[in-house]
Amino acid sequence: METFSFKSRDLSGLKYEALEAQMMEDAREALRKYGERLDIRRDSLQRLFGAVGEVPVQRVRLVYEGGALRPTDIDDLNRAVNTTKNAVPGVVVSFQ
Amino acid sequence: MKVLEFHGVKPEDSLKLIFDGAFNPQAALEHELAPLLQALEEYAGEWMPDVVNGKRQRKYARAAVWKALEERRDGNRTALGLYRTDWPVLDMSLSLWLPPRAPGLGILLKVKPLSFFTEVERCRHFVELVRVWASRYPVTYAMAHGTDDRTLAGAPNFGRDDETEYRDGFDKIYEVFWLNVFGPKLVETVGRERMLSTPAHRVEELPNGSILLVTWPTVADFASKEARLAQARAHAHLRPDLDFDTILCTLQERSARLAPVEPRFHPDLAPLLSRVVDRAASHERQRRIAELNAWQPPEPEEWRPAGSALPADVDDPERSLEEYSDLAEHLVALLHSEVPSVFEATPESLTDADFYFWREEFPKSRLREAIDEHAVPAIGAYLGEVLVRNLGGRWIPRQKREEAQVLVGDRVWFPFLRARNYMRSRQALLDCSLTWLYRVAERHRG
Repeated sequence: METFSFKSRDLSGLKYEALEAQMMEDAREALRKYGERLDIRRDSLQRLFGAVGEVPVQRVRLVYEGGALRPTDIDDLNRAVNTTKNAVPGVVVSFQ
Repeated sequence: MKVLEFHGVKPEDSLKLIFDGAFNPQAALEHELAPLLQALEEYAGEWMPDVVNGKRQRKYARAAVWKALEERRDGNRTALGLYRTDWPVLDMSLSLWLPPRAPGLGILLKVKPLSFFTEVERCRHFVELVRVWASRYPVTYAMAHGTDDRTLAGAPNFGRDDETEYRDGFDKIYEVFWLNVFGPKLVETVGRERMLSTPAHRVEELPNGSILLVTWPTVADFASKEARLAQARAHAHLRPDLDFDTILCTLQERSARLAPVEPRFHPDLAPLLSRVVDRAASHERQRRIAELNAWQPPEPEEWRPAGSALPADVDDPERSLEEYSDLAEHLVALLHSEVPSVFEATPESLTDADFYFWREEFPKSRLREAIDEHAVPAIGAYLGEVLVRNLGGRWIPRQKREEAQVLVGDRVWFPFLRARNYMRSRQALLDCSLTWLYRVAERHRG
């Protein structure tokens, strides 16, 4: 199972270190909230997964809004994404 | 301490240094990192950071650096920012991976503008700084170059997908930049002797086996014919499998894309287009200026000669005028926090609104239903009101909103129709801008 954390956050004006710190904070939060194991309460999903209650989460996807909110320096963005991947394994960062 | 914004100012090229090295985790951190700061203090000169950013900002001092690294420590990682309160603008980060992970020291440094590095001596000091750092903290790879040209070169992926780039990093000589430090593994891919015999401004073997290579004395003129020739010669030497002419041609194309283009925008739309250009990424700025120089707004179609105006067909014209006024107020309610000038209802407010909708990519980023039902009527009514208030126009109400007209001089204008055409796409926001319709209406006022 994969989970998603969508963020509409303006990253475009951040200095590099602030960008990296923000991304890592969001990734850690996403992992805390939606990672590792998830308690399934919704009936329709319980029918799908069985009445196990908790299911393991293979991957958490942290998705930022793209467009004007996305930093223009793709090179820096790539570096921050790679650093976050290293620091918070299990979370994949992308832009919509 | 007010730190200068790096991205807030006009898009401009900068010098970028990327440095990924290692340090000795057994030694006390302050002892281990002292040479890094020592070299920075010795060689940075006029771009020296004066602010250290940890959990809060402090004036630059070594003690402030230690404090920031300590307070920002989070498990096996810590990082800080180094900035300036004065020109030139600096955006620098220092990050450390700590045990039990393999120790890593990362520096990302950007100084804006790139033209600050026109002088030979200033560039020499920069090279010295990197040489000292790379001698003390062994690197896998480090580079410094103009940020925009690095982006056009396709860095850091160089044609690979993200996964491959993440896994392999800079594992072969994909590109030669102004300043390069190749770690021992990269040296091996070329051969030490071959790398040391590269034709370049400076090639130097460092004590830890890395090789420092600088193609040209100065970085600010990296796009010049001579600097490109030097860059291509070095690259072709390090990658004999590549063709020299192809390398040179690619570099010259990149220079052409970055060459300054003088804006010659349509005078009526220059205030809007300059802002559109300022939103372009720095490496795309010149191409965007050239495109918008060539672009001419299509003549507005949402008008008729005054003689063929549709007559008012509503029972209560006053009520229709009130409705248009209320709808225009909806736009003010929608935009006023982002575009405060909408309160003024002047031609300038139209330009501000044009820019806002364009910046927000409104036609794509909002639900089509919401656009058609709420935004389009509000925009149309607002445009009509601006024509009425500023050009002495007069509403001619109609039962069907899109047929409502504003009479100005020898033409009647269909503002609701314009708003619908305007909201079709992001390009339509420029092709059918409110500003442009207003200016044409102004000319036909008589």
